[in-house]
Amino acid sequence: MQLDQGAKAFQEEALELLGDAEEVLLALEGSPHDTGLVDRLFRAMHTVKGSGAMFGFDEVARFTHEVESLLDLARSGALTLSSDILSLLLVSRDHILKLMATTGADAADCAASDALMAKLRAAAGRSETPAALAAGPAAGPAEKIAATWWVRYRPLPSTYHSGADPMGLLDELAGLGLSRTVLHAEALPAVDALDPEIVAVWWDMVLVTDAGEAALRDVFLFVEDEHDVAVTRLAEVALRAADLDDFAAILEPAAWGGADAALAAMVGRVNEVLTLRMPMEGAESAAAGERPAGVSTSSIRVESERLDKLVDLVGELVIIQSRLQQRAASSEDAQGRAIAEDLARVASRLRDETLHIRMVPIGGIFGTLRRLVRDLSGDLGKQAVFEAEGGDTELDKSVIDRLKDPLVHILRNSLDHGLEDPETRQAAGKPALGTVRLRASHESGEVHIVITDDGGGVNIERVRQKALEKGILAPGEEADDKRVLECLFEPGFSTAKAVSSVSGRGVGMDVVKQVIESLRGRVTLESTFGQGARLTIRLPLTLAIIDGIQVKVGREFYILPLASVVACQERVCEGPAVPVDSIPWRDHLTPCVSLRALLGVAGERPRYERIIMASVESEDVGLAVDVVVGQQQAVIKPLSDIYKGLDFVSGTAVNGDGGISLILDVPRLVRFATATVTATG
Amino acid sequence: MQEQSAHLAGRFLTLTLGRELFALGIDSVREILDYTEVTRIPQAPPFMRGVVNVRGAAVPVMDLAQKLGLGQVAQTINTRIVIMEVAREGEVSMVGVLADSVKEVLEIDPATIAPPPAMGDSAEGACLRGIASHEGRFILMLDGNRIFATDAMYDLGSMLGTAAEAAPVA
Repeated sequence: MQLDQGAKAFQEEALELLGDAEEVLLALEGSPHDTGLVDRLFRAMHTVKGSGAMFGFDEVARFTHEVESLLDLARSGALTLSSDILSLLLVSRDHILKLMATTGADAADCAASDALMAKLRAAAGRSETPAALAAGPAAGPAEKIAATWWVRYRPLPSTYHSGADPMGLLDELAGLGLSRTVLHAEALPAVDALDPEIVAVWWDMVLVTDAGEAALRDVFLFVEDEHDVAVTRLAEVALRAADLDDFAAILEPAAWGGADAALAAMVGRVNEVLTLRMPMEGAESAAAGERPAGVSTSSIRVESERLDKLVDLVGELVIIQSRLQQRAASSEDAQGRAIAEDLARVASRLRDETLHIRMVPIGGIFGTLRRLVRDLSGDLGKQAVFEAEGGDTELDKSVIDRLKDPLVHILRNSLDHGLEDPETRQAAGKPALGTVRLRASHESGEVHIVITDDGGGVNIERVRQKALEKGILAPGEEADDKRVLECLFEPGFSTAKAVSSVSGRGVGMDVVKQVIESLRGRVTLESTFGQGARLTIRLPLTLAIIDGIQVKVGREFYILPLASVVACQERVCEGPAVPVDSIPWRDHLTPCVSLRALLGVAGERPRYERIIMASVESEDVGLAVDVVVGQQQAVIKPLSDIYKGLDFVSGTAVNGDGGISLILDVPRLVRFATATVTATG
Repeated sequence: MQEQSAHLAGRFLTLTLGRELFALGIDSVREILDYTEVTRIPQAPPFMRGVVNVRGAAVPVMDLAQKLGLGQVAQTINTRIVIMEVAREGEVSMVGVLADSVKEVLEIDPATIAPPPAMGDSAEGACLRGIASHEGRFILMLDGNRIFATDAMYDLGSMLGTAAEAAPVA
């Protein structure tokens, strides 16, 4: 369905608010009496309700209203947020998220809303929505137009004697929307003459609400006949907090009898404001009237595609400037060289800044992971808490997006297979509450994400059995614990006795490994039986640029990622090149792959070859090349999908002279070499 | 027959491979480059020469003569790389083809286009959308999408012997 600009803006804002709400709800588990948190939650729901109504998301508004009522009770201290209620609120929040997908609402959604609303009411201790409380929608979602009102309320002096509480009524009224209240205490006697059981004051209140006149009057339902209540509509649109402040200023000195003058002044102000304002702004401002704390106003939302285009252009600029620089360096033109150097400096800074734009703190997904652990541990009958560190560690946004599913799967695994149930844990002398911990950090040019749990670790023997059964391990093969753990990442492996609905199907540890490798990262698993497991993910800081070592074989250039390079040595060449032979390294004979032979490079083998020692999944391997050109930072361009069968080339980079280097994926290259050798016997 | 040919009408870029003249729909042609250094990509079919640098992007280049079984494109001053867009698996890709030389853009009259000859089981004609006649010469109209769709090679060499006998529909 077509959504206009306003509705889309609402959806984006609401998504943020609901994301915040989820975090607050999870935080409230730990500190249910934190009024700051409850307030924040209330305001978030309030904004979602108001804006939702404004942009036609009627079902969202109707449902959120009930959530808001419950939170209002919590806010005023009348209700404690128990774990059950928090769970209900989390489910409700999810429901709102679902409703937000479209402005219409089908019968199933409405029925689901009704069911949840009944539960919310029950939790609040109300069996039906009485009119006295923050007024619900009068006749379905029909009249949800926000307007600005002025309410004058003067209670009878004897109000307290009849049991009514003016403050309570004012609170109800204020709860309907954005408000400013002015207290008129001119008739209040001095302290020594004060009778606390007599009401000697009256109030003006201006508020912006979509509740409608009937709802406003309903607040005073039981006192209307005896007290002085005047409800006047000031404007048929929602004005802003600043405007309400103005009204409050006008009403401050007004006397009870001066109602007309005050009204005239306020109406004048309304007209001023409305003529000045543009239509778009009017719709946004009331919704924006109450921004929840923590939303920064100094940032701009930018579409990812625009950023990608920018990064592409900057990449091209860097390439061209590097070619210019090469040319200038070999020319006699001193001024030209100077200019090229200046350009190089600026281009380099431009590139760093642009890539940095895409960096986003990983803490953004912690909320989702925490929620997952909470929900899942409940489902599995285990007790677990999620602890996270290093939330401000920044990664490229696209990397975080692609990491989400693998991280979810890793946590599922920990909870399902790693952590034991409370009884088993206690019998083993561990606390019943298990901990799953995630720590993100920057280490030596990489991002490290370490996930640990204090569960039972991996049952090495069972994994070994399974690996033998599945043919991943050969019967006589000598396999140490490390090797056995690696089998967990092979496709077709699953030690779950029954494929649980929770984990196991579709996403496997093999897919996790693939995703991480496609991000040019590595993943390793360690385990201590009975104590827990640790999974470490290492990723490069950015996908767009690679720090590499450029090498030359024949007349072809290749780039090896710096992260996998350990050292470099030399050897004298004898005879023709073979794809794989060995070379001594650190007192071991280490396999050595000849790029010339493996990739079919034309030409004669040189007299000496350079061997780059690389580390692949903690195994050493040598890569024989003709020349090591040097270290290079290169902008990676993907290889056309015509070559998609070629998995060991992860991309291309343009050299300073305009030629192209192929970027090699070392683990995959080694796998290809192994396969080639095995195939030819 | 006439309807089929009608949609082939339009402007075409003509290029040569050996002594044969081929045509590519002008809509799919993006640019024409002089022969420039092609970076070999290992483990590729023999007719895929490698990639060339087009403003930073690595565009794959195919030796069209080799693909069509007409020998190989040699490197001369007339050799060109035609960069074009083809549809592959639902997406548009930039690809290049090597040609011995590039001629002019022609307006081809649909009346002169004949379907490619079918020789029994052979699918040799599948890479062509038709054969046109222009000023006494035959022009083989290439199907760019088909050529880049698979790694299959064609053998137009033998097919062209019989093409000369199929007179174009007047």
